[in-house]
Amino acid sequence: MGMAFSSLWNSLFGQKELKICILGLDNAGKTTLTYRMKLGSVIASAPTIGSTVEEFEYKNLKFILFDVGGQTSLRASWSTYLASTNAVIFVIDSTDRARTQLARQELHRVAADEQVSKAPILVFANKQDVMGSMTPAEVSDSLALTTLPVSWHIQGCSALTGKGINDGLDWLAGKLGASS
Amino acid sequence: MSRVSQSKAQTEANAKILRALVKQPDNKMCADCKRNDPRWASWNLGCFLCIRCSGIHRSMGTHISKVKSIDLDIWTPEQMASIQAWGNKRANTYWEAHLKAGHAPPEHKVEAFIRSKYDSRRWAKEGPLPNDPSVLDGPGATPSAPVPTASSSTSRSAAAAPPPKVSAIDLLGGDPSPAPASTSTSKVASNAQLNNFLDDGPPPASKVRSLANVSPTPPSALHSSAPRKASGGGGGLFDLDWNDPIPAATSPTSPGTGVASTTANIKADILSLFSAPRAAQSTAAVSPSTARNNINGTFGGLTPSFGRLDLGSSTTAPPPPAGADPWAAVPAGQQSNGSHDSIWGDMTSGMAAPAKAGTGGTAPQKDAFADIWGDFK
Repeated sequence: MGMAFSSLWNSLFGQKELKICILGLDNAGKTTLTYRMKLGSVIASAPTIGSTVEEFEYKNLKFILFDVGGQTSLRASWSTYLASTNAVIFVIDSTDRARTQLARQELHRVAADEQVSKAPILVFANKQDVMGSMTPAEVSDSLALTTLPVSWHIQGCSALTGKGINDGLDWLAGKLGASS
Repeated sequence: MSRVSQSKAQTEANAKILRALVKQPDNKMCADCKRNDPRWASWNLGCFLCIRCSGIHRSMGTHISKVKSIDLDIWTPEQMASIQAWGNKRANTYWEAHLKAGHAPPEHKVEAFIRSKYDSRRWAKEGPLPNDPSVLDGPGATPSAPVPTASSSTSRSAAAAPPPKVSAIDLLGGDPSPAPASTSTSKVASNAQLNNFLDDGPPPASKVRSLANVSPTPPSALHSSAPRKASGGGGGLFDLDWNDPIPAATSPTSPGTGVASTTANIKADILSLFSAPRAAQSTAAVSPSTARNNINGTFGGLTPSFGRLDLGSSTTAPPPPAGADPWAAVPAGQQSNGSHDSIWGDMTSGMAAPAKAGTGGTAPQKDAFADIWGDFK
């Protein structure tokens, strides 16, 4: 009851806070993307050990981004971050053809987690600025997105140039705004 | 997927090997910044990195460097094989072939340094990456290789200069035949200075090895290196010293970089010019005929400034023994200036200072050359 009231209150007077996990293999561009969304610029980053949390506002939504490291042993901890998450952003390095199968496994493992059964998954095919990178359609095929059990959307983007990011966020905002 | 299906025992064995590898003296420091405790590695380049440099490696893209964590990642057999075959020493033998051993970039230039090193291949050895990296330390394994005494004196003098590798290429590439007599006489003339220099310099064994690495390079490879030298901005022998001013010139943040780079070019000209007349006059240099030296300095300054282009663009242009001589004689000439030790001894600090001074205007620049000019007055 309290929850319902709180939710109603927020929808009327406050910004909605949404927890979003940003996942993906190491060196996919998660941290760069996080700071591109938050700051609108590129920062030099080093591999994320553990996770970082950033907040930023998009339209009338307040996103709380959990940027989690993607190294092999850090992936085991992803499920702990997925508790009560509103959405997942899964970042793919579109230039890394050698690891698309691994990315597919990890993505499907995340999507199978019951904690995200109601959370939409936005797949960013990152690094589209690099010549010869896979197109979003190619990424979609290699990730077998059509077999995902949840609502998903793929968006090509470049965290370096910022291109495509807002398109993806628009989809996410539409999904999350409509879901409550 | 092998990564996932790999047995736990195999994974643990790999982790153990990696931890042992990173404890080896060569791998104990970051392959790029030469500091810190490397807990990361580029498995395709085969070098161990600190976390900051690993971030820069990742930003270059996976077509250049594939970074993994020693502690947080599971390594495949392929990746293990690569990192075990390479290691920091062999990787830098290749990627820093034209750089002083153990060169550590200044803190604020690490990113530019790493991009120059791997992306632009600025200091890399000629030719593609060897499939078997062990060939890289082949000649170095026997530093006391049987070399004739005459050529050994050549290698000593060439190796004495901290930028020895480029000069060695010019020397050997321009004149593949055994060192001519005139070369060795000029060596004798400046022998005392050379000895001083050798005492100050790094252990000669590594220098000899580096020379040995260069000498079997086929002429075609030498030619391919020529355009790179020309585009280096500093020109030929002095490439090394300009690696600090040039990234500064390209970096948009440092003010007055235009002045710095032109200063660098002017200096490259002047320095390369002085070595030429001196060497050509190596016998006359003994006699203190100051007027004559002055003339040499003036006119020599003009000719090689055009001639430098030739040296850079085609090593086939017939450099007679006297042409090869100047390069070999440069260390001696530099040493006699005394105060310029720092340029050769420590290119980081030594070069950073004149470059900064150059931004101030012409006055500091004059100072910087006072010693050189003094020699010819």
